[in-house]
Amino acid sequence: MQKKIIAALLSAAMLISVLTGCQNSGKQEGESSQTSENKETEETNEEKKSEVPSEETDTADADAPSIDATGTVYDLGGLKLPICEPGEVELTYMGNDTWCAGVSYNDGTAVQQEIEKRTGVHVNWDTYSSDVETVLQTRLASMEGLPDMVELPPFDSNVGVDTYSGNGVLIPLNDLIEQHAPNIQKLFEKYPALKAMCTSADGNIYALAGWWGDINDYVPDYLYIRQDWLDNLGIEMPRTIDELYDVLVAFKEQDANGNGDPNDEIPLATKNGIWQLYYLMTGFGYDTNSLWYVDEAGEVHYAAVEEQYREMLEFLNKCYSEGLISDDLEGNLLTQNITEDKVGIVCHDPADNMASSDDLAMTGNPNCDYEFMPVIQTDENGTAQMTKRSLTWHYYGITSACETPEVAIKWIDYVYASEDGSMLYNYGIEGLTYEYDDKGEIQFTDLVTNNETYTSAFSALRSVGAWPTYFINDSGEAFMKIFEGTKVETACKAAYNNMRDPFPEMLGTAEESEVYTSIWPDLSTYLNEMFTAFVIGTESLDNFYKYVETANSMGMQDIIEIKKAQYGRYQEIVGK
Amino acid sequence: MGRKERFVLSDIPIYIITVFIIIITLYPVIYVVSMSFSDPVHVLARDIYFLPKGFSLKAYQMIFKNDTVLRSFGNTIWYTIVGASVSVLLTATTAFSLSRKKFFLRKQLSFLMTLTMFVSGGLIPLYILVQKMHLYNTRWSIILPYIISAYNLIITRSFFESLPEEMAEAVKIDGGSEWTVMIKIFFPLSKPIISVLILFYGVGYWNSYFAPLIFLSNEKLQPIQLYLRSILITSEVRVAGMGMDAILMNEQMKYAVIVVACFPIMILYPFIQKYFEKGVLIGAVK
Amino acid sequence: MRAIWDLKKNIRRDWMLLLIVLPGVVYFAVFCYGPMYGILMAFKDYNVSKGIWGSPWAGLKHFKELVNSVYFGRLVKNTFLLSIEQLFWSFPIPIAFALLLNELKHNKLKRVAQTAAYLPHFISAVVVVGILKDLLSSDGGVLTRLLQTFGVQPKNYFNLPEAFRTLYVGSGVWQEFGWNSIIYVAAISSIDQEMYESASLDGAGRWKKLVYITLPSIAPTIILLLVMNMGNMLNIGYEKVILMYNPATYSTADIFSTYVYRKGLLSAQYSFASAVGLANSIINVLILLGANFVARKATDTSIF
Repeated sequence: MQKKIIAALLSAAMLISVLTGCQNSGKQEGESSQTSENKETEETNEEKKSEVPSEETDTADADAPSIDATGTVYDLGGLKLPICEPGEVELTYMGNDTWCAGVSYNDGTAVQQEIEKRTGVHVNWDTYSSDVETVLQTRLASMEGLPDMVELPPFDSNVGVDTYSGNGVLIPLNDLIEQHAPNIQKLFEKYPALKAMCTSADGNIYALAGWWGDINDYVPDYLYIRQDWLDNLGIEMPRTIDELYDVLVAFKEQDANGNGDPNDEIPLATKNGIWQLYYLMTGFGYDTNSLWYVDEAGEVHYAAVEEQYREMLEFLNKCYSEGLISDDLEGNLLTQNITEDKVGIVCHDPADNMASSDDLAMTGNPNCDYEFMPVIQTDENGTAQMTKRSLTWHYYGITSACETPEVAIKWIDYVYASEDGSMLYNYGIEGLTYEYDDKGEIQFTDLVTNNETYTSAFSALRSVGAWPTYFINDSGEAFMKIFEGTKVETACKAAYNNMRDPFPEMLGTAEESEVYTSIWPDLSTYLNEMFTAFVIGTESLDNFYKYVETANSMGMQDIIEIKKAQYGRYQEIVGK
Repeated sequence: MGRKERFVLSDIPIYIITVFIIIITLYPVIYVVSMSFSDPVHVLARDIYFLPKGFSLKAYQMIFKNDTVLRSFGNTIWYTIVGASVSVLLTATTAFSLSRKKFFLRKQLSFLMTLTMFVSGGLIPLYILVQKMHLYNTRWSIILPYIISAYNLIITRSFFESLPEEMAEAVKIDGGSEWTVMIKIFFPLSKPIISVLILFYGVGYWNSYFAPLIFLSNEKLQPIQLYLRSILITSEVRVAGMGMDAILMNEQMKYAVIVVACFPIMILYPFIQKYFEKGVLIGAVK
Repeated sequence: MRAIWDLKKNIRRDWMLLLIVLPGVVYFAVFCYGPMYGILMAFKDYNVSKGIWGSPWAGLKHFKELVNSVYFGRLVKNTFLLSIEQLFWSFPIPIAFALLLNELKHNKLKRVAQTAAYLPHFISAVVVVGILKDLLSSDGGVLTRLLQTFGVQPKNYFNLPEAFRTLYVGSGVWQEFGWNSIIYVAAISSIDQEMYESASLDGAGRWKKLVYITLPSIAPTIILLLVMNMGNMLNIGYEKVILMYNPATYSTADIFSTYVYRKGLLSAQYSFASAVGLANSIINVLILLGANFVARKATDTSIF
């Protein structure tokens, strides 16, 4: 293992540096500042330039940087650490706070401190756990108090990139990446789709997308079912839509959970809104469960206005009227119902949530066993596949208020794309959250596996700052490591390489964004409302064609045109 | 009315309605408190209807885990006391002027001030203003922009208008100024309205969340409400790994946060209530 | 000339009142009227780097966009109906409660009732809606079971468009009536007790005292608050509505603020949002002026 060798080299290097007291030694720090970068520093503020020592021209390779680190330092991919002398440059970051209760980036976590130690860059964290978008939009819109690095609102769409790049809030990153960010370049080479989704219509890159391409190769989002209920009733795992119907009926009519009450079972419930039931479209002749899809001829389609979709709505309507689908349309009571051992099938939840759902239901029923469902097919010969979850998360950019953009991009290069950064990001700090065993395998420490407050490994890792919300680039491998030996791992392995790529979410041109934002809010309200009305039966399916017509009159075709153009651009960049 | 009166038949429905009201309003409060102390699993299953099931202080431990909570409480108390004092004072004085029938700008100023209840320039220009005045990230940033509420101003003015004019006249005849009228006559008679103002402003500053969210990014100055919100995971976690602990925490925290945030301000009420119970005017007027 | 002379005379006469009102005037001028230029945003295509003044004019574009939305009619209807229903219930109930407290002879009970009634004000909307959803859940909610004993079929009321307004207003009243009664309780407490005593001597009963003493004494407060509430009635925030509605109930629950909220999730539409806000304010001010006019003519009490 190459890593081990580097680690060994490093620990030796560290020993020396500790002995010589490297933190305060100008010589040691000088070593890490590369002459190749001195040219760039001329662009930065003078204060910095004067402080960069130029007499040390040691171009030691990345294997042995004399950075102040706890634990192993992994491959830096050509990035030189520390980026600046400790505390020399301060950057502010604004965005979401961590997704871990009781912890805040603003207070500093172990991983953040470690990143600061290694990079030398002091980041002032200005993060929020709620109403982030309001705060961010106020700052961005008034151009007062702009942070250096920012998570771009609005989060639910990517029009923010266009809005804020068009008026000078965001600076273009192309040159910066080319000159200072070797790891981001490599990431782009590895994932052309990422580059495509970061590239604005004018060809520039103004923001980096949080990247889920890696983790979502592994983690599907689909339906999971109570295997123990199936066993109780002696039925097989459903494969086709007809079998699924039979299972739903059986759950409904019999005492599947075995508590003596045949009426308390909810056969099927959705997590984030009833419209997620479109996941079942594979049972009606679609190859995959994505509303936006491309057919063999390369044409872009939106499923919700097509004939086959009507059949699915009919099916769902039948199920709903027979009480097979929960009437808790928004999924507000889902966790409660799972805990009460009532829910047979959960729709729209990533594989790993099976584990927590098990934990919840087990408080009442120790036999609870949720299993991932295979893709529902039209018939036995069906070959439909799941669609991968979205490839990107929110966008992150550098603002025009940043005085040292090349330090910022290097820092981003480190946390977002370098191997060393990603190890901190995904596994935490060696010695604190993980250690290597005799075989050179990573083993999580008690802090992660046996934490009293944070009982899941994820929360425990997040509580020390791993799996952050900033510059997201989640690793599938690390995810699998956390769930090693569990059924989540089995489900994810089964899904790996067995899913279709999602429809790419490209950045729009200014014109596209304007059309999109004027049409889509009304239209999506309409589509959503009609889906619900058809399913719960307040609107007769005889009106389906009228509905399609109305959708078209509201601009459905314009939206499809935009998606077509964007898909074209995607193809160009990805080079298919 | 503090006087003892004879119990009559028509009191019966009044008692019944009152008891009914107490039950339906106390119910959600007891529910919240019970939820916050119960075993988190019962919180999720929501099988708590009245009294706590199981017992757990986990949510409270989470809240009081670090020193931030004490500092934030301290900040909130500062904002509440200082903010409410200044607000009550300024509201009362401004309302006094506007209540004087002879004041020549009375109508115009009343109109312009009331209008601000219904029309505003929005958040962005206000934010720019706070930045430009260098109030951003200072304690005054969340007090100054909200120091007088037009609503409170109008009810105070109307209260002053209901005070007997003769006493003011008497002072004037004795050669006293409007200042004397305000301090010697109006304010002593205004205990009910002053206590309403203290309550409204006090609770307003205590609960203030939006202003500090926008104007205070310095943690050392942030009030308790921001801290409490920040320990709730409010963003929807779509990425992997919301463990059961996180789900439990998130659910129960909602309730514990309310208890922690409200308890101190609830204590304030009985003190204020005292002034509502007796006819304060009586005696003073005589 | 005469006007200036008048002004001088007025200032000389009222200089003390002017001095007293000055801090208040400064506050409103700086913090309320200072940022008013933000209203211009509604008529511009707001561009961050150019600021509010420098952004290009858009005329009535954003208002047209609002009016041209297929949902405009529905939004107007829903916003008005919800506002009216809200005012209809949430305005009188606090008054009734304050009067009830006034009739209560048992002081302890009175204190308990008053304290209990104002507590729900402090519970966040998320939790109130959560409690409500739980009580009304179609499988096993407490209220559902109660209704079942009266023969009502269990159903999910949160999916019924016709139930939305009742749920919204009902929970709002439940949460706020005690708090909103505070001002009336204060007003009642400052009624001269001698009036009651002499009325008692005249043999006036409880009802007579209520109608002839209590109500007239707090009438100015009631009218004032009614006028202000009417001026504010269209300002219904989206926070609680989005917790309560879903696509099945959009037909009655979708209002201007939720519409802007949903649009804002997809795009940074500063100008559009402020156009909607301005339209709302204009209607509010018109209602306020109307209500104020009627109040002044009919009762001699008014805000200005």
